[in-house]
Parts: sequence; structure tokens; C-alpha cells
Amino acid sequence: MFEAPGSDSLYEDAACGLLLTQPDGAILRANRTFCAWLGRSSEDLLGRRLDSLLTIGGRIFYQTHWMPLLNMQRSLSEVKLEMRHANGQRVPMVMNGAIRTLHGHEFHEIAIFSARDRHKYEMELLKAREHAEENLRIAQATQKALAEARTGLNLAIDAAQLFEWSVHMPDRVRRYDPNVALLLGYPDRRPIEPADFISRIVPEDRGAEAGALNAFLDAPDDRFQSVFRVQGVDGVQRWIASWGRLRRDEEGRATHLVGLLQDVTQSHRQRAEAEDRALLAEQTLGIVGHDLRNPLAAIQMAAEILGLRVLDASQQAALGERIRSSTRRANRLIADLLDFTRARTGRGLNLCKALVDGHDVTRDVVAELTTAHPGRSLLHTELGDARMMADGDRISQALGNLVSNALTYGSPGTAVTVRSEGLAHSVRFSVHNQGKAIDPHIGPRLFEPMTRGEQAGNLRSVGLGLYIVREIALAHGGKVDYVSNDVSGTTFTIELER
Amino acid sequence: MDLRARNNVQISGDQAITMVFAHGFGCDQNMWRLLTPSFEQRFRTLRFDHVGSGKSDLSAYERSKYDALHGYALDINQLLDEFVPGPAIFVGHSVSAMIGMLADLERPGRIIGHVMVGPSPCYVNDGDYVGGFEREDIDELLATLKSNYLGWSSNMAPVIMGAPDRPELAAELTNSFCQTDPVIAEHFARVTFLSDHRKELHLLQTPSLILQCSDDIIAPVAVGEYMHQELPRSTLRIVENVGHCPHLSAPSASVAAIEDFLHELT
Repeated sequence: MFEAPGSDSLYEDAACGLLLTQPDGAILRANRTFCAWLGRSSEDLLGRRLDSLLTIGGRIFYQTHWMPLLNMQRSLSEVKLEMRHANGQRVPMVMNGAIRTLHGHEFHEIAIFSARDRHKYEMELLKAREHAEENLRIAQATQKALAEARTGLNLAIDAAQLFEWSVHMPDRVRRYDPNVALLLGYPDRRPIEPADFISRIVPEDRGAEAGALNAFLDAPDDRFQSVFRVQGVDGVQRWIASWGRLRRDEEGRATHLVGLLQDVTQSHRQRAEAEDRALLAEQTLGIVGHDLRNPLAAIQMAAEILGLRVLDASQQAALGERIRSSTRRANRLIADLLDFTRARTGRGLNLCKALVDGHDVTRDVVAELTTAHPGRSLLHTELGDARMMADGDRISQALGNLVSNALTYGSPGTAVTVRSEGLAHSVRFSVHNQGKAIDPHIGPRLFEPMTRGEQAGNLRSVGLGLYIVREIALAHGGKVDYVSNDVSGTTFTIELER
Repeated sequence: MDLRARNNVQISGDQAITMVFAHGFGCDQNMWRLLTPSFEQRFRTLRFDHVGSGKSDLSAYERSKYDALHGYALDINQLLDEFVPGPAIFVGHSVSAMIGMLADLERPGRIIGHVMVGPSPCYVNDGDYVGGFEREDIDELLATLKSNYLGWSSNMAPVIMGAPDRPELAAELTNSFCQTDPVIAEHFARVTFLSDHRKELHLLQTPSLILQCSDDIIAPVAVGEYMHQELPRSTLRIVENVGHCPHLSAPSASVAAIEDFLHELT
């Protein structure tokens, strides 16, 4: 048989500290275990208040948490506080407490467990949590900075009216930012699938756009660039410039082609217009250089002859006529030049429509040119009723150009035939000459400015004449055309609505 | 905003004068359970939890607002606006005594008397002023708080024992009492124990009772005397009690002192 420990030794040497205190915390009993833990004798502890054994921070906690809670709940568990060892060291403790009433008196019973290891572990936990919180703060700050940078970038991209797109390199899938919808003529941003975008590229450019991209992806260069047109859902066609650069991962592998799209319609148009203006200036200079030189040379020569010697009446008349016709030619050229400039700068020809008779207009032109070209045969045929609403001066200008050309290019000694012909809803004017056919390769380009017939040489230029004829016909809502071959000669026809 | 839910407001009675009970740091309105029954016959009572404590709406806790006691004082005035049509007697424990004073100074005329239970205008020693603590002690408290709120699953609940001396209060009580978000608890502790409102004391013209415990390390007698000296219309009553919660550990003496004060007041 054995003797079990009595309750007294069970109390004194319990595996935990045991305290009995008055309600105000004054210690009535403290077991040996507790005394040993704090390095104090039982006598030293008796009468002392429990909170005097705590660190000062612990005392505040004891007063604000332990005491009110114990009073409210009558018992309390797992409160962790630090006590002071007699040698001044801190001893972390976990305390349970309960209030027991005996004969009308309240006592506080407290069980205390040393918690050194738990304390260490908790301090590690706290440190780890603080570390994690610090990392979280850094991550949040980084995220915020990133978000701010992204906002700034978005604003800048928006201000420059640029649109983002990218291509995922491995699978070549394109991605378009919802704002790209604006480039495609949508009123607001919306998701744009790659197929939507590609289908909006005009068919003529679609192949080139895909080709340029594939070529780049096959052999990535540093920068990607292409220009193409898209047909917007709003009916507007836009020129789009697309730029991109490679994004690489840490190992230097290209992961994305990242880029921007820009609407370059305006600069495109401006460049085309600038090119047009340059061409126009060049053409104008060409005309001035080539075509005005001949009549001016003729006038100069006449003037020199007049200064050299005395002339008889017929010689004088002939020289006078030469000066007159050269001046006339120069004037006509200048008029053409002005019209040409107007037409080319988009201002169009001035028309002053009135009721005119096409026959009368033609008759006057024929009469004038007959006088100017003595020795050449000019025939005029009138058919039907040729009354119409038109600008008579413009029609005679057009006919004058056609008849002058016919006289210039027609075989010498053959007649030039002019017909004015009233049809049901229109009036047709035609001018025919015999002679070598116009080079069939010229085709419709004949009516473009500065296109000359083969034999032009130093004769009167058709550089502007036919262009003006066409412009006059178009301004009247009519058309001009020609047929030409070596056998039957050349016929120009203007047909104008009444 | 639903103030009733924000501050878990509990009102009883419909008498003309309302006693407003404000708990201190570390606890909630259940603190007043032993005290309020003594006054419910003659007064309307309003108990509440400060935002961040007890069953208040934790989502209303704005760190910037509650970075000073003025944030809590603002809440007091809102509660008075909303729930107290007549005169109020403000009973504030510990830090809430100062919160009540700040609310009164902010909007004078609504509080006719202050019962300050264990008040302190400044907890940290400062030159000749004895608050009771050094700055390092407060840091130590914050560490203790952290350490006790770490596990957080155990809310210092009652001990489960085989003994017949069962806890007298319902278990649900323990679920809210002292159950505070650790971050908020630490912040409240910091704001409380580092507050200093000594300069405002002389401005308070409302009669006030300083209920001073005879032995309280948080608000030592010297602090009660200092307050009495600074507060123009104050009465100092020292209650024989060890600790910081006379309304829990010495309810009868506390009630008697308050009764005397109310008698003079009303």
C-alpha cells in the first residue's frame, strides 16, 4: 500500500502557483511553488497585494481588465501578465481566477502558470505579425504608387488621344483596350475583340496589316510600326498608325508586343494636301515657263522688227496681227491658269448661268477662230434646238480650247468640223479633226493637267486646255469624251444638260 | 447614421432627467450593472458602448476621429441630441469623465452635473504633476495588451470549474465584455493614457463629483486632489476601495456618494 499525498502537500507543491487573496488583492496564502517561481518567501508575500508583484503596465491591465472582469464574471481564465522575480527579472505568467464566498466573505482563488515558453512563442508570433503588417503596408504603398502612376499614364495617353493594344507573344492573341472602340467610331468605350478590330480594317489594307504584324512576330525587332485604314461603324474612314515595343521577362524572352494606336487621318490628309500644293506650284511654274514663253517670244520678235526698219502697210498689219494673236494666246493661257488654280484649290469654277443658245455660242467661237487662223478651214453644223441654261462664256472657252487643239493637231490642209446639236435633254458639242490619232495609252489621263499630245513640241500646249474643258463640263453637270484613230481622226464631244 | 446601433444605446425609464453612463477603457456598459438599479426609480438611464468597445458598431471606428478624446466627446453630444431631450447627468468612469467634460465644454448647458468615477486628466507624470505613470509604463501596458489579445479566441472567459460557486452572470455577458478588436484596444489605450486635459479643467462650470478611490494606481488620490483643485465647482469624495472600479468593488459606497451629490444638484 502507499500513502497518497495529503491535500496540504498537494496545495503547497502543486504543479502551479496557487494564491488566495482578499477582494482587494491582498495575499492571504501563497503556495511553495509560487514562492519559488518568484524567489520570495511566503512571509514576504503575505499581506502584499497581488498587483504589486506585476510590472507597471501589467498593473494597469490588472486594474482595467482583471479586476472588473473577475467581479463581473466571478471567474476568469487565461490572463497573461508579467510578474517581477525577487531578482527583478520578469516572469511571464498565465492566471486563472475565481471568487469564492465563505461565511459571507469573498475570497479570490488564483491559479498561476509559468508561461516562459508560451511567452517566447507569442513574442515570435507578434514579431511575425508585425513583420507581416509592415510588409502589407509596403505592398499597399507600392500598390498605391502603382495605381497613381497608372492614373497618370492613363491621363497622358488620353490627353494624347492614344489607344492601347498588345499582342501576347506565345499565342499571338491580340488585345485591344476598350477605348479603342472610339477609334472604330463607337460613341463610347466598349470591349473590342481582336476579330472585331481586324474586320474593321479596310480590305485593301487588311493583308498588309496582318503581314506586317506576322513578319514582326516571326523575327521580332525592337520596334513595330504599321499604318492602315479602318472603316468606322460611324461611316468614317480613319488612318491608324500603330506602334509597338517588345516587353521582355527577366530571362529576356519577349512576352508581349505592347503598343499604342493613333488616329493619323488628319496628318495624312494634311500631308496629301501639302503634296498637292507642291505639285500645283510645280505645274503652275511649268505652265508659265513653257507656254507663256512662245507668245511672249513672238511679241518680242515683232517689236524688234518694228524697231529695226520702216515697214510698209501690209507688213505692219501682219506684224500687228501677230502681236494681237500672241497676246490673245497669252491671255487665254492666263485665264486657263487662273481657272486651273481655282479648280485645284477646291474653289471650283465660277459659273454664271443664263438662257443661251448653243448654236450662237458655237458660231461666235468659229467666227473668231476663223479670223485668227486665216488659211484654215473651219466648218460649223447646227442641228436641233440648242437653247439651254448655261454659262455662255465658259462654253465658248471650252469650245475655243477644243477648236484650238484641233487646229494645232489636225493635219494641215484638212478642215476642222464643229457641230452643235440639240438633243432631247441635252446639248452636244463636238469638234473633229483629221490626223494622227492620240496615243491610246494616254486614255483618260489626257484630261489631267500637264498632259501633252505627242507632237506638242513647240506648238500650243494642251497642258491645261483639256483639263479646263473637263472642269467646265463637270461644273455644268455634263461630261467630255473623245474618240480617236488614224483613219477617221479625232472627235472631242462635250455633252451638257439643258 | 443609426446612433442607437453605433453605440449600442440602452435606455430605461421616461423621467425628466437622464443619467448617462459612460464606461472607461477596457470594458463596456455592463460595468454599470451594479450601479444603475439604484437610480432607475428617479432617473431615466442611458447606457452605451463607446465605438470600438463592447457591442458597438466596429465599422464606425475611424482611426483619425478617435485619435483624440474629442472624437468620443463628439459622439456624446450626438447621443445627447438624439436621445436626451431634457437635462443630463453624466456619469463617466475613468477616461470617460474627461470625455464628458470635453463634450460639456463643446456644447455647454445640456449636462447639469458630472459624476467622475476615478478620473484623471493626465496619466503620465509631468514635472511637479504626479499622474502615476512614466511614459515607459504606458508602453509596457500596450505590450501587455498585445500579449493578451494575441490568442483572441479566449476572451478571458470564466473558468470552467467543478466547484458549485457558479458564475452569477449570464454567459452571454462574457461574450461582449472586454471583447474588443486588438488594434482598436491598443489605439484606445494609447489615446487614453497619453491624453492630457489638465488645461481644460478650470473651464468647466458644471457642478462635478470626483469619486476618488482610496487606493487606485490608475488614478491615485493625488490626481483626485489635483482635479478638485482645478475644477471650479467640484466635490471630492474618497471611497474606501482598492482598485479602479468602485462601482464594481464598492457599489454601496459609490451609490451613497453619488446620491449625496445628486441631492445637492436636483
